[in-house]
Amino acid sequence: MFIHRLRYLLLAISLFGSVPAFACESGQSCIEKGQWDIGIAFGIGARSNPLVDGNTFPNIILIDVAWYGDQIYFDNGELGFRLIENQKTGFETYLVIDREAAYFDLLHPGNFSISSLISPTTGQPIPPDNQTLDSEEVRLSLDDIRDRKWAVNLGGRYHYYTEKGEVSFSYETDVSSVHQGSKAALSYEHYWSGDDWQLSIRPSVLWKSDKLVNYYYGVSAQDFPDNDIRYTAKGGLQPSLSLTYTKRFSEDWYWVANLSYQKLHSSMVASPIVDENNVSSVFLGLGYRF
Amino acid sequence: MSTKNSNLKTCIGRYWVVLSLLCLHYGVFAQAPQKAYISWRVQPKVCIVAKLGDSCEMALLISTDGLKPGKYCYFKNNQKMHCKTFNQAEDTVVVKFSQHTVLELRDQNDTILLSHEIQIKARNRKPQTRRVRQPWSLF
Repeated sequence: MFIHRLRYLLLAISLFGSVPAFACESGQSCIEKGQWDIGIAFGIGARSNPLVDGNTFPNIILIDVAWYGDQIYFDNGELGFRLIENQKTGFETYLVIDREAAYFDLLHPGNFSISSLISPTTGQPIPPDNQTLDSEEVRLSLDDIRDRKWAVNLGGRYHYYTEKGEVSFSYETDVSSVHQGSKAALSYEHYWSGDDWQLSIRPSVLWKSDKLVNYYYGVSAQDFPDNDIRYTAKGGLQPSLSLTYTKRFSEDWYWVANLSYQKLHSSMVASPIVDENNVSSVFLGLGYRF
Repeated sequence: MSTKNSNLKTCIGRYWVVLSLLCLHYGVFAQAPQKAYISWRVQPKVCIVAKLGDSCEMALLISTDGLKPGKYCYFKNNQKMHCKTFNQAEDTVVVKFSQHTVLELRDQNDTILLSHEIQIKARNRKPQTRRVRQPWSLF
């Protein structure tokens, strides 16, 4: 499956050919071609974890790593190939590690416990003894379920640039045969900038498919081979809003502030392994660019 | 002879009337607005930095011509910098910027009298490109 999808990627590359030369405007997120751009920020902050017993992640270190060639690029874990880049539009294909599994790998709850079963309003719960269950009791800890694997997605992203922002649309599908699902994102980013500062706001809508959501947030026989607990999670839309502020106060040092909020869709929230209806994040710190 | 003198006077009289009308039409006798006659010269016009995004701080030497003594304000990209009273034709203003900047001189009525664009250029010749993802973003 992976090889099959890579063929489409190679075909697309050959069809589009080379990218015309394009000069990045001052004020945009520019990077020098052929040179690593590495930044590290230390500060205070936290990122919530929507899973049951999910500990809030401390945001102490933020890393920003990017390298861009004429067409190939690496940007914070995303390996891509730019097919179109001009003043108004851009299009690239890329491979990226799906971040959905991050909630699962970073948590190591100590206790194994199954409180009860799941909400009768969603999924296909099979309550024992035909009793009505309190949905508040239907919470499964991470150690109750099988490990969720990391997936690698193949994606395509289109950009339309305006004078002070951009509209982007991306679509990604799993090429590692982990969940075989897909997701899409539509976002608009607007920024204001001064001589030494930039403020950007980015409202987005993220769509996740049934397969993706069910793999990570569903409860199946693989989780409980000897039990009747089941939950089928459905795909849905997740709106989000992100604010980023950077201010340069010396040649290499920056203030970095980031606020993000992502609303989770109802079928994911109703999962017995999910406890929160949103993921929020805050970070304030000092960044250094090497 | 007297007929010739009479014709000459008539001709001069007619030209005088036409000349007077032209002068009135183009406002020679009227008080012209200040903006139409003033100009300035700003140096330097370009600041060189090591790489795009670096900030540049430099003192601009400004020479004005036709500017009446009075209080005027400097604006940088529509943001007020400071105001001062102009008594002489030359002035120096320190500007810090990291992208193309428009410097303006406005009067007390916020009317733009003079405008000048200061450019910033990178010294290195390596091409720049636009990142496809927002730096420092958490999502």
